[in-house]
Amino acid sequence: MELRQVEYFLAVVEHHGIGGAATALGVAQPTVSQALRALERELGVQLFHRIGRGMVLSAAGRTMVGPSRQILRDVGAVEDLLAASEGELAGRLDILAFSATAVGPVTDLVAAFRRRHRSVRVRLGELREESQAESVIADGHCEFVVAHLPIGGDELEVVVIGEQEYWLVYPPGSEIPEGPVPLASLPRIPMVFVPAGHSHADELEAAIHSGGNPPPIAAISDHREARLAMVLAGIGGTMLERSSAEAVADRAVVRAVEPRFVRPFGIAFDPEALSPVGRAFVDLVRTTVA
Amino acid sequence: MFDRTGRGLELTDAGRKLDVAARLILADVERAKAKVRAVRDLRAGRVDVVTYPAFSIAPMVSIVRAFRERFPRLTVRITATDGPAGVLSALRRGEAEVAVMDMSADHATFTTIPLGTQELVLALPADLAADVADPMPRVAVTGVPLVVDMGDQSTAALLSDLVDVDAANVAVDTALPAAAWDLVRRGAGATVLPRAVAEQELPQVPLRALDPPLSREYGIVLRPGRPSPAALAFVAAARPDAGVDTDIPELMD
Repeated sequence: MELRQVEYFLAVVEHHGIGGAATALGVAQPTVSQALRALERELGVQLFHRIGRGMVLSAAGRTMVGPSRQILRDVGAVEDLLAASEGELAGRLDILAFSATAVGPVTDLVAAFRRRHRSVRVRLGELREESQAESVIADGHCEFVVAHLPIGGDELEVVVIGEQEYWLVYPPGSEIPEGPVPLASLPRIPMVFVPAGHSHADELEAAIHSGGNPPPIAAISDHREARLAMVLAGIGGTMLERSSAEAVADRAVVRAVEPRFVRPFGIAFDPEALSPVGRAFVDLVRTTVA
Repeated sequence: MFDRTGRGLELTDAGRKLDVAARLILADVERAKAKVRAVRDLRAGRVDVVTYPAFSIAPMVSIVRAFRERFPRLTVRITATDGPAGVLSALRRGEAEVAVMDMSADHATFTTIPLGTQELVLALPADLAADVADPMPRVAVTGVPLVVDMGDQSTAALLSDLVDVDAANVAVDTALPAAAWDLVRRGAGATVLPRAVAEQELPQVPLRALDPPLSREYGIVLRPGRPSPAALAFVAAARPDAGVDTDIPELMD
């Protein structure tokens, strides 16, 4: 098996076909298909079903995706290893985090890890669907996922790193009585929400609608990072993680909600398939949490 | 439907049933028309907008504020993509009607309306900022650990002068802006962001302009064809924000 074949294989997977892969790699299509056929000959099994003009992964192909990404990650680390001084940890720490859980404890861990291992580069990407936690690790997209519990997968170990409590944040000057606000009877102030269909965003929405008189919607935004700016600009209220809400108590009107809405979140990984960088990160996670 | 008895017409049983059904249908039609009118007249409805993290706060927040002040009954739906390429496909697929994006990106056959220029600055933790001049020469940034998004090609191209060979000074590559700010607050590295966003989100973090200055032009992109009333309203709200007039006859046809 040659490194180039592995690269081509993954390119075909990621670009859904030989054409897209060839364009992305900057090589001719026959070069890609020949490399793929050679790899299939060597492995003695088809990695793709050729259906019409399309390419669909076979069962054998699917099992090869995760290990292939690991191969490329480890190859990528070689250069860093050579550049690093003796005994120094080098390589890449790959984390995918569900955006609601990507601040606070996770950034504490990443910042602490970088202080300890200056030659390790970190990728903190976005996990779009929390239900994908298991498959993104199995497919080698990352070594770690951060998401709300429960995180599925028999092979995954999960360490709880924090809990999230949602609070209300309203524009400066909003008149809201002191004390917790019942979710089922929010004030008639326009709101900025994230779209439904995001795990517990649905539960929150159900709680807000249970009173039969939900507040008007000013905006629905995928951009979680923009919610606070929208509140401060007076566009509407929103729900933010408690520590983010408390941090702006001097600039906005901040209230707890009733009932309390608390969800634990954690970091998951496959303990059997960790790289040296991954093992060092797990050590840090364990000592930090303990 | 009718018994033609004597001088007049009288409804049969079947006719009476049809009468009820017909009135119901006519009421349905009226309701449908009223709903459409409300949307046409901007008394109800929604505008579907798409952008990516580069513009999700500036200028998006001030545009949404201006829009909601003028059209308080309309909702704004903002979807996210990774970068400019995703924006155009969201417009093509009809997931959004209006995009806010980089004017230097490829716009194919879409209608573009420039809005303004955004200055980008470096937000760098205090211990890295000591002894660093303002403005900071771009080449000096290659020696600073960065927390930036290299996954989006347009951002990566914009940062090319600030990133070392092989991106060796990219300490953390993240597409999550809130995580990037958090990491900068914790001293993990510096990031590049619009000045207005830096002042709001990272008030405690020292800022440095870049030399030569780093900026990008942004604007609105629309699908070819006649925009919906809500989309036109969004354009009208966006333009005064950038200091241009609200007259948009070229889109009204």
